[in-house]
Amino acid sequence: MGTTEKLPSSVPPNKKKLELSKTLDSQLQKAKLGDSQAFSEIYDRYAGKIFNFASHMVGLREDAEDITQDTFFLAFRNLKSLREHTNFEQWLYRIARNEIYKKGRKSAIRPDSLDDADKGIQHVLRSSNPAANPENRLLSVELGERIKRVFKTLPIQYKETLVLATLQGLNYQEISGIQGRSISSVKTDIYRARLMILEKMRK
Amino acid sequence: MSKRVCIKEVSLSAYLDGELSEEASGQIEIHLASCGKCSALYERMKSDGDLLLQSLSVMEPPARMKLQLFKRIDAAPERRPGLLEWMQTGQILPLRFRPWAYACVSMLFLAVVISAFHFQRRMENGRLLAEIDRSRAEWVARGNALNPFNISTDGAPLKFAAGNPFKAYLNER
Repeated sequence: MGTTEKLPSSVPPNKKKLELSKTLDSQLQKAKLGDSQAFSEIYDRYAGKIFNFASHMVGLREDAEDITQDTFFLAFRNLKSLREHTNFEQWLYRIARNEIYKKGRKSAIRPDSLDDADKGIQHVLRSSNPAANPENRLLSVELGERIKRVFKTLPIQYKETLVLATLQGLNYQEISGIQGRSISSVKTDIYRARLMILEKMRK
Repeated sequence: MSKRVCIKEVSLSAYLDGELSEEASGQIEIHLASCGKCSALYERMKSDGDLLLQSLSVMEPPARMKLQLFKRIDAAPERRPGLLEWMQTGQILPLRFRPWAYACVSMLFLAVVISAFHFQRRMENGRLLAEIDRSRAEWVARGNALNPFNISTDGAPLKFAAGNPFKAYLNER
């Protein structure tokens, strides 16, 4: 559904980006006039990112679903107030972030359910090299579980910044735009989060 | 012999994210090649990051979520635009803001009328006081004993209605 698949791979990245932003611009124009088909295409493009961001932040899949749905609902309702179409992604993340913190206030952010933890083990088992010996695979599973536990203990601000930078692939400038903070404080948060993980993993 | 200065850890983290300039990245690469301590730290940061990426599973949002969302969008009543949005479109004041606008204009009008009334009264009082001053000066100049400013007919102090400028004048003296 997204235009990403339609573009040939030989197109240079900058041109691809420009094409994508043009497509997004026209989709947003249409969605602003109430075209739900255009908004559906926008949803297809960003739902995965927002859902993963929410699920890594809140832990529970059900909560992440609620947050994602609320984010897109609010985005559709308030689309007319969006002036700069180029900032759409940041704007969407800001809405999601607000919803996450709102949910966090209502119920303290809970850890992952056992079900999710189990899925995590399966994911690591799948992604680790099947040719490697079982001992090594088990070790990497254990390490994976350990780093997940460490990640959950991080302060929410560090966790958020780290998720945006490493898992969502956003740059520091985009993160600072989402969080409304300076680039240097974003940089410091990521570094502190990494340092915390290093220290806790060493124990 | 110059002392080798290690890279700040925060810069190492930014380098890992590709956030440094080409020049700064080049300097870090040169340093990492020669410093075991920094390269070990960099490798640990990198491997932890990779492990985190690997262990936090990427999930696909369920298809039913999209259906629910669009049902919700269709069912929701149309949102009324805020004042700012209306102003941006350049349209006349929306109907729901009109009572407030009328109330504000009425209050403003009332405030102007009251201020004008008070101003006019103050001007009038000033004019009267000037008149009294002038009369008194005339009486004094004539040396008239029956100066109306010093006596009362029944011996009691003179009483004036509230707000009488004459009273204010006497109080001042």
